[in-house]
Amino acid sequence: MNNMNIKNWLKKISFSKGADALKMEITPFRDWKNLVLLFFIWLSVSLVFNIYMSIGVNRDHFFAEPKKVNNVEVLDTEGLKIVADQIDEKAANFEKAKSEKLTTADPSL
Amino acid sequence: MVMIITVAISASLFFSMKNKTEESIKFSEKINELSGKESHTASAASALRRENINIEKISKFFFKENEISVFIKKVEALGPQSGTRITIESLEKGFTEKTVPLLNFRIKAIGTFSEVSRLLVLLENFPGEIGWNTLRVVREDLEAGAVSRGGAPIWRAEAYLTILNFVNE
Repeated sequence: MNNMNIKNWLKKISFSKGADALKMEITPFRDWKNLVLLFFIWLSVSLVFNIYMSIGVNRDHFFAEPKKVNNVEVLDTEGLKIVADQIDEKAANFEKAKSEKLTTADPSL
Repeated sequence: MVMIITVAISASLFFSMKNKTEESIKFSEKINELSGKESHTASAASALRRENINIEKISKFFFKENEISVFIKKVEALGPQSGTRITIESLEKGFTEKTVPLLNFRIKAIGTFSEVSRLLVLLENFPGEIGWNTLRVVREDLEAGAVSRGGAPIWRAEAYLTILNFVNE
């Protein structure tokens, strides 16, 4: 019994009777069908849009501006140390060369 | 109609929220930038204090235009240290291709082969950035009586050098 009712209702909402050639007949089922269809389309679109917006906002895709990268000049302490060590090494080598006695044979003799 | 109104309200809320968020982001970025600058200045100052010894050492390594005479005295002092008779024949300022200031100089040293060799070793280890352009070591003519006190032959070294640790100021 119930099945029959549902079938009838579905028939009424799904098919136009098609007998009204002048389109003068009031067709509340067809109108309701259109309205319900439109509502569900809008609901689906709105749902998809809201999900998209919510994900976008959570991931900062919409409102957050790209962060500016500040190129900060940092003192190269490692480089300074290397250069200072080289200077020290040069000075030590010079002192060593000054104190060392170098005996080189004259090639002309 | 209700749908259209809802969409319009949502859109207006979205755009007003977007504008407000953008403004607040700008403010927070400015605040971050200012606080970042302050902290960078403080850390740079402390790094400079920490590295003061090395900075001083490096700045002393370079000599200025008004310190050329000191540099010449240091080079001339290599004569007595090596036992050679040293003369600075020319001295001229210049620039490398990359506009780095440099100081070209030509020296002549006279002594025994051992003394000349010692001078070259000292020049090689001289505390500065020396580039060797040309070096000529020749024995003086024995016939002309070019002998040292010990009777050893006399040698002459002529070198054209470039000093790179020079600041044109």
